[in-house]
Amino acid sequence: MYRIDEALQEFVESGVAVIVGTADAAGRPHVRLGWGPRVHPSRTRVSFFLEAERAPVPLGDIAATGQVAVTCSDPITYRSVQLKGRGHAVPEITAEDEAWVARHRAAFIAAVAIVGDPPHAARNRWIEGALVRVDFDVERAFNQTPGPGAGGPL
Amino acid sequence: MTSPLQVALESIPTCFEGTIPSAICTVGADGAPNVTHLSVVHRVDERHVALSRQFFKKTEENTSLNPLAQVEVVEPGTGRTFVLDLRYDHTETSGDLFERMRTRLDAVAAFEGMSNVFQLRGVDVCEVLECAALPCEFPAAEPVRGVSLERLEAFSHQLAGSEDLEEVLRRTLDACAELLDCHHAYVMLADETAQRLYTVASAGFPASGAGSEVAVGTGIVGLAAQRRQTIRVTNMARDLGYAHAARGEFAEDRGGDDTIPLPSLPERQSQLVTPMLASRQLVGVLALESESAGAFQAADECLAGIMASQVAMAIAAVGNSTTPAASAGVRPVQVKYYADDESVFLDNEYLIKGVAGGILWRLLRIHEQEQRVDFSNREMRLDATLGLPDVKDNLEARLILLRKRLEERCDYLRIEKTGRGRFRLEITRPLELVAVDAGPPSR
Repeated sequence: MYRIDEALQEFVESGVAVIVGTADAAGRPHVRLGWGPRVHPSRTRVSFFLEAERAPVPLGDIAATGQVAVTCSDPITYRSVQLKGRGHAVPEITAEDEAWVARHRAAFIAAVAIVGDPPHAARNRWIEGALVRVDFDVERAFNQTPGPGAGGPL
Repeated sequence: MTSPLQVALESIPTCFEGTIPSAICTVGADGAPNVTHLSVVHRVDERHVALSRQFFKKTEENTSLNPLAQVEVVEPGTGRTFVLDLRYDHTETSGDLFERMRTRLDAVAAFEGMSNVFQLRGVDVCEVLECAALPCEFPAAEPVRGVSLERLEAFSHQLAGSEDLEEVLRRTLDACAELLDCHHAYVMLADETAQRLYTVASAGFPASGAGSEVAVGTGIVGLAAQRRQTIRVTNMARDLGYAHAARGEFAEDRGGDDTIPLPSLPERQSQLVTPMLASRQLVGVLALESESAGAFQAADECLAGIMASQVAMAIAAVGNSTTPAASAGVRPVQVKYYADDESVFLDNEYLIKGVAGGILWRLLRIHEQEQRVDFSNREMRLDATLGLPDVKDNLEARLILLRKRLEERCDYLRIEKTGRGRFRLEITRPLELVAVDAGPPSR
């Protein structure tokens, strides 16, 4: 297991762009924007949310293989970290989960506005609808910031 | 026969501008997904895209084992998202596509005053198996900017009917506003050696930048000239962030010399620089800027390219034709001339250097000796002391540049056009001419 320290937790839970990668059993990859990454008190587990309507295939992949990769990128500085591990979808989400996602989306819109994205376009990156929470245990973490160190383990 | 894509790539051109980073997922031999951002997904044709090989070795390693990838691209003006299923086809390490993507990356580095930051090791060309839109709240497509061929033709006619370089330049800047809806543009011309560019006309900038120079090969403008390729920057803030992340330090250098800054918008987000070529020779560059991200699209690049070629040919046609100056007052203004680099200072304030500086000094000397104020382009050309080259001397451009610099820097010295190929030196304060053999003071 990889243990997430406080500094990395602060980064992961900020207004980062979250991209989620999955693959089906046949090795077909799928990518979607994810929302609301949150580090569990154990520091080895992370939750994020996918939209049921926009991400049925990645959710199917997770159900089938459990494998998941999540890259969090700061839209302004490009600092990026990839977390890989195994997880599963959680059937129900709470009001607290929804509030957490709303907080992340507001922070994301604020961050991308700084680099020129119109708010209405940023807002179109998700739809109002059912969210599915995915909890996963982080096995490996990588520096994903563009540059010579990209891909190196954290 | 392959079935058509759900969404045709050509219907979403702005997704491939690099304005918003794309995301790519590949799968390793162990079945584990790998996901990362890509700066640009380049549309090659209706069924292929190209991805740059820069930093992400895991992505390359995965595609060498499993050629499938999925990419998510975003339409910058609307936020509409599309997913592309890809199959890796081949890698290119040279050729037109490779050079275009290399120039695009080098442009970002050039802006930052860096080199070798984004070493492009290859371009992965992938077949697009499917392109589908994700559901969204606001599905309206981005309006496609139309190009009016009638207006382009009208511009072409106007250029053909232009009498001199000044008219060509004015019509060019007007056309940037009318045809490209860009109100911030400038024209730089190549000097006789084709090693440097100097700004001869601009519109819509806080400072005109007339006379600013850049070496061919330096900065975004110099790079476009050197590579003979159009450079389009769609999101300066993101590009800078990307460059900064890759390099880890910041050193802004637009490449212009430090005497006169290039024309520039303080908050520019988009830039389009198109080389102007005539008979395979570099005539100059046409540069456009905008404070909006994604302001220049692929269609604008095509249009600017056509305009630049037309302008280049028009400049070559009017090439050696025209231009303007005369006297007296209160305290004499000291005009210092440094022969080393032909720089001219007015009361110790830098005015201009190079050929234009040499011309001004020559005019002032003649005026001092002969009290003459009317001049012709022809006599300037024949004046051996100026050392203008026989073939392509850019005299007219130098005179326009000189006139603009004088208008910006003082109110007692003017060059006024008096007819085709003729100009007058207008001097309203006494001048004290001082020639200095040593080099100019450091600026």
